[in-house]
Amino acid sequence: MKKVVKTSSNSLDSYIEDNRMKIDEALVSLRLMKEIDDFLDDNKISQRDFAGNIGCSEAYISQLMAGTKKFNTSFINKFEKNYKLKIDFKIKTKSEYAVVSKMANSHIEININLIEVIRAENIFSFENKPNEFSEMNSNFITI
Amino acid sequence: MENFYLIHCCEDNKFRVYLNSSNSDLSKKFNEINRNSKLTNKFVLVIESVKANIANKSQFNWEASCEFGEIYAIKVDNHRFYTLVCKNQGYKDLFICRYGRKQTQQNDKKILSIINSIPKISIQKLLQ
Repeated sequence: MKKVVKTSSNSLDSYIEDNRMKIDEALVSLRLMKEIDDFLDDNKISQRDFAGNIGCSEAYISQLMAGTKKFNTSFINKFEKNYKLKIDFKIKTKSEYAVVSKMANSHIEININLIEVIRAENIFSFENKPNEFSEMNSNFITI
Repeated sequence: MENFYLIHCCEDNKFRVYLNSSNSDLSKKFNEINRNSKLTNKFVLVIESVKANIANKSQFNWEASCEFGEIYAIKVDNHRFYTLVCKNQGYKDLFICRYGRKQTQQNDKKILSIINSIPKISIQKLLQ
């Protein structure tokens, strides 16, 4: 028989609490790295080839993917130039960001926990009307 | 008998992380990671990324599916924490079940048997 024991405080929680700012900064970088990881996956590009293509070391890409290093504008510039892409930065409100958790070429991922909030705020229709969907430009990545 | 204890809970994100304390290999490695601040930082970044739905495959790699959910590997350097991800009453629950080293040709079969052992864990027992 297996059981769950709840502990009120532990080292993981205290580490998160003590390093909240540092973790949140890393998460900003990891938001972009998630998009890049999906891009590499979709285009079957290995991290090694990616590093070579943009003139970075494999270790640097690995550190970016782990969140131990944060991306800079030089990295974004090299990425955009080498793959002829444009990273589109958009400012979104917190609720808007939370509702659409992921947008890909083939699908839009919606945070279902917020469906009732969306309904209440009447942000957009839940009716299945294809003409309400706008086309997405695959050359742009929104983070 | 395998005991899982709650090591992290976020009510805002409806997200919980449990650790299997009955697996000595896993407990040993988890304690080892907790004593090293760099490794703790990497581990926490994976957990926080999963919570925010922004984890990449270098951090959190899908390994297999089973009737209880999906099995992922939390990747921290050469360490792999094999984790069962379940949806339970609106919560995303991560059950860190087993430990393994980074997959190589030499340990390929061992890793596969570790992953295959996870679906044999009864979810009712886990949640009891």
